[in-house]
This record gives sequence, C-alpha cells and structure tokens, in this order.
Amino acid sequence: MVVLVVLLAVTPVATVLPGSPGSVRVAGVTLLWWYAALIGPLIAALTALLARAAR
Amino acid sequence: MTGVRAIAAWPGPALVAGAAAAVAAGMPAAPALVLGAAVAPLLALAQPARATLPRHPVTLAIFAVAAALLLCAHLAALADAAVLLGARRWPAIVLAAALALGVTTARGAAFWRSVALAIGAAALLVVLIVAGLASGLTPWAAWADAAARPGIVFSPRSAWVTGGERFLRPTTLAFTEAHRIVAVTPGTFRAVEMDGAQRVVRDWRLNAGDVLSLRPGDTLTVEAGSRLRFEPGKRVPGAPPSGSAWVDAAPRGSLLRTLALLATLALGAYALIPPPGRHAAAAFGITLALGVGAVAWGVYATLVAPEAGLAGSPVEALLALPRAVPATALGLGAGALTALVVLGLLALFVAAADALRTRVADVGGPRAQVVWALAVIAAAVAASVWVVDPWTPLAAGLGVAGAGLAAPRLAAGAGAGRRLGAPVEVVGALLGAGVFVALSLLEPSRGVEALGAWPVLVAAPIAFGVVSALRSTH
Repeated sequence: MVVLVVLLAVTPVATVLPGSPGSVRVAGVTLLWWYAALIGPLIAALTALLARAAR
Repeated sequence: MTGVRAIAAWPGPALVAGAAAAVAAGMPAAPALVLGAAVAPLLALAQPARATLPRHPVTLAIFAVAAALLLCAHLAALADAAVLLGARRWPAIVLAAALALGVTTARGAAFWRSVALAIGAAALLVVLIVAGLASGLTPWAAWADAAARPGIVFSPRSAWVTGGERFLRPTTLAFTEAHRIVAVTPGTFRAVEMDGAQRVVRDWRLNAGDVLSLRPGDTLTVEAGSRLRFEPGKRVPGAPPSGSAWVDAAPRGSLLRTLALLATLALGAYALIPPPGRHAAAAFGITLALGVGAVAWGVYATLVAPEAGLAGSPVEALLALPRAVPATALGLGAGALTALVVLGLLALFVAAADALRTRVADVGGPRAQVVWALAVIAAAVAASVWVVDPWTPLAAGLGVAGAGLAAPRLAAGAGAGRRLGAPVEVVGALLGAGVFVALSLLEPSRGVEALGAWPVLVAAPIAFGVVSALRSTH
C-alpha cells in the first residue's frame, strides 16, 4: 500500500521539482506522460499482484 | 467476489469520459487524473480482506448519498451523449435509470455485472483500435504529432464548421484572433469587447444565419442550447494556443489541486471497491487498460477533433473520435462506431450501478433494496433537472464516500469499539461527511479556493483524526 501511495505521489511532486524533469521527452512523449499513462500504472499493477501473491 | 465484479463500480461513463476529455483538452490535472484513475482502485484491490463498515443508519445514509451522486454523474454523461446525438435529455436518463434498476434488482445480477463490464470495455476498445488503425499512428506517435501542432484550429471537416453544433451548457468563449461566427439557430449572445482600455458589453439578438464578428481579446457568452458555426482554420476558443502549450500545461498544475484530486480518487476507490476474493489479476488489467486507453483516446481525439469539448461536456471527446474516423476503416463507419461508444457507456453504467447496489446491500441489510431504488430515482431526477458537468457529481460522490466512509474505516482498523452510543466508525463517518458537505456549500471566496473546491482535503483528515483519538481512548 505504501508503494502505491508513493507511486501516486510522484505526479504532484513532479510539478514542484526544479528544472521540470517531467517535461523531458523520450520517444517524442514527455516523461510525465509516460509515467502517468504507462509506467506508474504498470508498476502499481505488478506491485499489487506481488502483494497478493505473497499472502 | 471476483476481481472483475469488485472493480465494476470504478470505470463508469463519467470517469472514462472525464479522463479522456482531460487529456484531449490538455488540462493541467490530466496526468494526475489518468494516474489516479488507474492506481487508486489498486489501493483497495491490494488490501487484505478487511472488515466491512458497521450496519448503521448513518453509514447507510452516507453510502446512499454517495451512490446517488455517482449514478447522477454517470446518468449526466449518458444524457450528454444523447443530446450530442440529437436525442432529448430526460428520456435518455429515464431509460438508462430504468435499465439499471431492472438489471440490478433481477436474479443473477452479479453475473450480468461481469458481462456488462466486458461488453463496455470491449466496445470502447474496438473503437479505439479502429481509430488508431485509421490514423496509421501509434498512440505515442499521435501524441508527438499533437504536441507538434503550430496552432489548435478548427478543421474544415469539423461539425462545428460544416453545420454548426449545440452548446450543452452556458459557456464563455475567449477569442485570441478575429473570428466570424454564424448563429445556426436564433439566440441572444453577450459579447464583451475591448474598446481601447475600456470594456464594452453588448447583447446581440441573432437570427438563424446572422453573422457576428469578434476581435482578439473579445469574449462571447453563449446560452445552453445555442447553435453556432465557426470558421475553418481559426483557433479554437478556450483551447491551448498550440501543441506545445497543450503539452506544457501538465507540468504546471497546482500542487494543492493535484493532491486533492488524488486524495479524492484514492479514498473514493477505497470506499467503493471491496477486496476481491479471487481472480484479482483481471481487475489489475482493467485498471491498466483504463489509464492507457483514456490517454490514447484523448490523444487521438485532440488530433482529429481539437474542438471536442467546446460544447461543454467531456462526452464530446468520446463521440468526436468515431465521428472523425474515415468510413472505410475496417468496414465500420461513423454510425457503427458511435453506436459502439454508446453501447460501451451504457454497459459500463449498468456494471457500475450493480456494483454500487452490492455495496449498499453490504451496509443496508434488509432495508437496502428500498434505499437502492430511492437512490436510483433520486439520481435520475437530479440528472434531469440539474444540467451539470458529470465531473461535479462524480467528485462529490467520491469525496463524500472518501471522507465519510474510507477515512473512518482506515483509522478504526479492527475492534475499534463504541463511543457516544455508536460504533467509532459511525461517529467518524458523521463528522467526515458533515464537514465535507459544509465545506462544499461554502462560498469559495471565504477560504482557500482549492479547499472549497476539494473539501476532502479537510474532511478526511478530521474524520481520520477523530476516529484515531476515540480509538486510542478505548
């Protein structure tokens, strides 16, 4: 659960970081959008799956 | 309960449309909304089996209010779809509410919930795949193309240009360049023009076919139901000026608003979604598909129909995509794809309604059936008379459930005992929901604006703190 909360917190933290690292583009898309649309949900789903499997 | 049945309350039409529209419009909160929509339900799904809320009239009343608000949001989204397709609002709401009531009170409703969720997800996925194939672009290539647009302008093939479209809600359009608009139906419009340093307000009564010329800096207030035609190649009023501005809005979102949005989604999901007994992986897949699908849909929509959202409803972004797909794409024309979108939204609504009905039954006992019927009827009446952006009742429903049910439940844990003649969670629920409602009704100017707009940031910590304090004195 802590991991999931941390994953959620990345987006608001990205808005206040100096240098705006979320605006860096990878394959034409900004890091913020790669994270919000794909990487964050994927890590969250895998974390939830592992947490259930461990019980 | 299987994972699919557990998560069915989450991807309702209002949330799906809201996420896709936020991406299409380049709203600053769009990344947080998409991430929250995909990750928040996992907080509930990943939990070990937890005790249900105590059966008490207070928890039942709060859950019924939350369910009615969420149903109202979904019905408002379906009604918007009906109006955008030329039908009338209230018959669409009555039909959808009657369908939900019929399915959710029928024998074997839980089975039909899974079927409805599968139909809804499959229908929207087919439209998205067809749109992607027709454009010849992967979602990330479409995103890069959308970000490279020098200006966000009306396409010559847009319905707002060819025949004119209808505004669903009163709105004020801000023009950044000269624009000649044409009234398709008679109406009264208020233009605020800048005459040197002075603002001049003019009310125009236009007949069908009358033209109104606007200059850069002018605003035009349009009543709900008005139909206007715009010039092709001109900037879309209210949209970001260019693709780079569409991209840059996201990293500049307000920290407080982003936190409030995520708290609303996370606590709302925790209150609404029960821990699944088995087959949880399917539910994880659904949340992943929701996030990726909403972004892909919004990106394709802004690329082919950048004016989607002008009518004032997030559903326009969902309907804009099938309308803009070439008729030859996989043999499915705009009509068939639009029908699939409507079918998908209706199926997701039925699935969400039945999942909410189950949660009401968990806290309602023998009174649950009557309370559920009243909640559906109240939602239908509210959606008919209150022509509102579906996001408003959705955020209110998630917020009241989060502050009134999730926060006290999280603080109470197991065996919290009783205080003041009621279970500790009930005391916290009453306080959390009460503070949430009081803050929601406050004038925004009386406090910090974001707290008035997102009362869950205050109400949930109060409910959590009070229950923790009462529990420690047990």
